[in-house]
Amino acid sequence: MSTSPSIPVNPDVLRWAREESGYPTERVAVRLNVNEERVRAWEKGERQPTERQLEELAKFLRRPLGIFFLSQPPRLAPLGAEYRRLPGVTPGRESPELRIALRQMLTRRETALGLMEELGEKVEPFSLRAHLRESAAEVAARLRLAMGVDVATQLAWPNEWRAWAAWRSAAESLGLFVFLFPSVALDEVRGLAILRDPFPVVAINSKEMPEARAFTLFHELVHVLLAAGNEELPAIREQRPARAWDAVERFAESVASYVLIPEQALREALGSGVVARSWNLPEVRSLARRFRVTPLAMATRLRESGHMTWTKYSAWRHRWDEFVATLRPRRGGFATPVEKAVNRAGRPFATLILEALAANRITSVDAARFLNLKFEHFEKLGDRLREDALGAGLGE
Amino acid sequence: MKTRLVPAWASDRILAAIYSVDSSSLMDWQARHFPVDIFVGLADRMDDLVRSARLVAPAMVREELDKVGTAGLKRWTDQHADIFVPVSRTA
Repeated sequence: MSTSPSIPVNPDVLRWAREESGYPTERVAVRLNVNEERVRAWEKGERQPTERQLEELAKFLRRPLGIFFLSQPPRLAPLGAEYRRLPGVTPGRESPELRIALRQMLTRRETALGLMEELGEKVEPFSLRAHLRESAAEVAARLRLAMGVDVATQLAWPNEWRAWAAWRSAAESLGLFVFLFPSVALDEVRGLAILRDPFPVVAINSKEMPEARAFTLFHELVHVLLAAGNEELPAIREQRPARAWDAVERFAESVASYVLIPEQALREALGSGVVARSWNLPEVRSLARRFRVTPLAMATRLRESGHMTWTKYSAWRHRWDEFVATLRPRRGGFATPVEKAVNRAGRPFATLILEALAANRITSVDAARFLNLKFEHFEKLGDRLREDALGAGLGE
Repeated sequence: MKTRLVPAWASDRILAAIYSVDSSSLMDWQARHFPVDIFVGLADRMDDLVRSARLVAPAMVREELDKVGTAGLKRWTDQHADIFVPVSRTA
């Protein structure tokens, strides 16, 4: 039992903070080790939390302590007004983990734009567009041209990690942020797009394996392009019936697969014996490895271009699902704190933070908080970013 | 002739002042601009302030430094835990 004094706070603010984070009273009660009735009493103004409890609540809800001393709840735009329509996610009913991830990424973007302005960097509007009347191959070709990635370079990447890093960097060069978000179940969201301009955000679930990340990246990027072309709206305003929305999703999938596997490159890889192929698992896996994509993405792509019939695709998909079910859960590799920070926020954001720190626009504590990285790792972070920049300059 | 940097009345106030610092002050001092193994005199003066109960910080500063600070700063905050006071006492 806590002996610290009770703190007078506005009960409406307490309720707002909990609801905004997506937690039921029960979860708060468990986390603070109090009866659920106690939490309800706080929110009705019948009792007051202690200082210790308020501090714990601030930590749990990832809010600054000061927010509880506001005279009334702040008015924030609903999160559903920020991200694209997501399959299976109802705006306002996102999981607490997804809500935290969205809030963190929105804050990161705002921070970046503020710092870019302070440092005198020119911020251009996002200029790429896509329209549903276009062919997937056409949009994909435009995207690849804008990113400047040719097929020979892609086929020379030595592994899926290098491929992911290169695709990410190429996408970032278009004037958007690519973030990874942790702690959200893959079942809920694999990737999402924050439809803002300038610097929209494409975000990938960090649980996604590297060869699948690139596909998700381009799938989300297509949604950004469609929104820029006034073809889709943020989740809360997107009212298409399910079937019409499915067509949008299929378009995004199709473009993503054409970006990763252009038609000409696929034909060359297949050679002349297309019809004779049986498309067993090893054949598709081998072809997928060549392009550093998942076998499923490759099979989908083969079907899209008519190299695999729907019947063969369905049979292949069945065998693939059976095979995947036999695999052990994938274990995460070891990443240093610096690698984790750069993976999460991306190189452009990390570089911006170091520049702002060097220019005394932010404090060392700000910098560490923005990157969620202890300050003692900042020297290594600087070294890492310089090495990456040098590698990019040498065309690695 | 010896000149005074501050007038006597100001000097008295400075000697009586209590400094309430945030995380950035401690980080910039130790982790960024004035490492304690090089700026030994400054570290001694800070210790003097702590001994005379003239350096305080909200308890949350310690938590923040644990999260974002350096190992050296963590050692220093552990050794000077008395400077951190609960928010209700600083308010």
